[in-house]
Amino acid sequence: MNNEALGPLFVPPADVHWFWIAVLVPAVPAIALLLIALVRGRFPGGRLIGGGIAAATWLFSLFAYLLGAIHLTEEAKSVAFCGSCHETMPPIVESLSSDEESLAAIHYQRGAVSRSEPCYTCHSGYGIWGTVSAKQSGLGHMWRTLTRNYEFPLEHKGPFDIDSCQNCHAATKAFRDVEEHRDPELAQAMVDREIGCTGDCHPAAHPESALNGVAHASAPKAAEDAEDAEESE
Amino acid sequence: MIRLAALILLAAQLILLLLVYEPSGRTATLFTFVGTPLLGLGLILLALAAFRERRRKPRDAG
Repeated sequence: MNNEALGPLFVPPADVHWFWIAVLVPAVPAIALLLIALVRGRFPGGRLIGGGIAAATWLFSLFAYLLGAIHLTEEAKSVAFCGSCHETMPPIVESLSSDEESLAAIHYQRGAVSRSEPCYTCHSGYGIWGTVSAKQSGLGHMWRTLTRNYEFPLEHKGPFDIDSCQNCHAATKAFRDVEEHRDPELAQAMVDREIGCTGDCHPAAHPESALNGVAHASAPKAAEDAEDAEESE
Repeated sequence: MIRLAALILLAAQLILLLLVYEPSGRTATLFTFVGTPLLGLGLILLALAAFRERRRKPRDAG
């Protein structure tokens, strides 16, 4: 059942992004001036004005791209954006709603992470450098997708940054009440990034079946569907 | 050279419009690895063309 069918209280408030208009403000005049330059072979106006218009075109083009990069940085936080890499991500995004045991699904279904940016919440790390590191990783993901330089099952590179978990959990009573969390050796091993939270004491972040990409994830389902069809006959 | 610079910059701006229209992994990759190098090349060419134009005109006038 979808959220709308349950009633208005089950529909999250619309998260409208208007920043794209800011991108168009310098992009549209830049395109118009570039079209004129392309057709006429020079910018309109005499030497002085033409030079000024050329400089304005240069600045508009650059500024539009800078705003476009900011727009991309914001849009790239959304779960829809993460799920748009068709080969690898849809099974992971789908498992957030359908799985019951993985840590990511538990957080998502309990509303412990942002509904619109659940991937970014846990994978961006903590603080401003966490954001920088997330963007750096994103560039790496795009490059590996472009060059098809990745393998299944997908694996997290290096230990998971426990600061992302600690950011919410460290101050909670439930976290403090767990004896293991106060064990000095265990705590030091976690601080040294020798062990993480997920997959060690707590469930794996994502179900194994979701880490094999679309092709592998759909194969068993197709087989199941075929079996079901045979049984019904 | 101005035409070439304008053509390259237009291509870069069209990629930007694509990204604005549909932000996705595909358009983001296009923006980052095709659009941005095109923008850099177009801006350099445009600056060179404007510089050449400025140098040529006084000589033509004299």
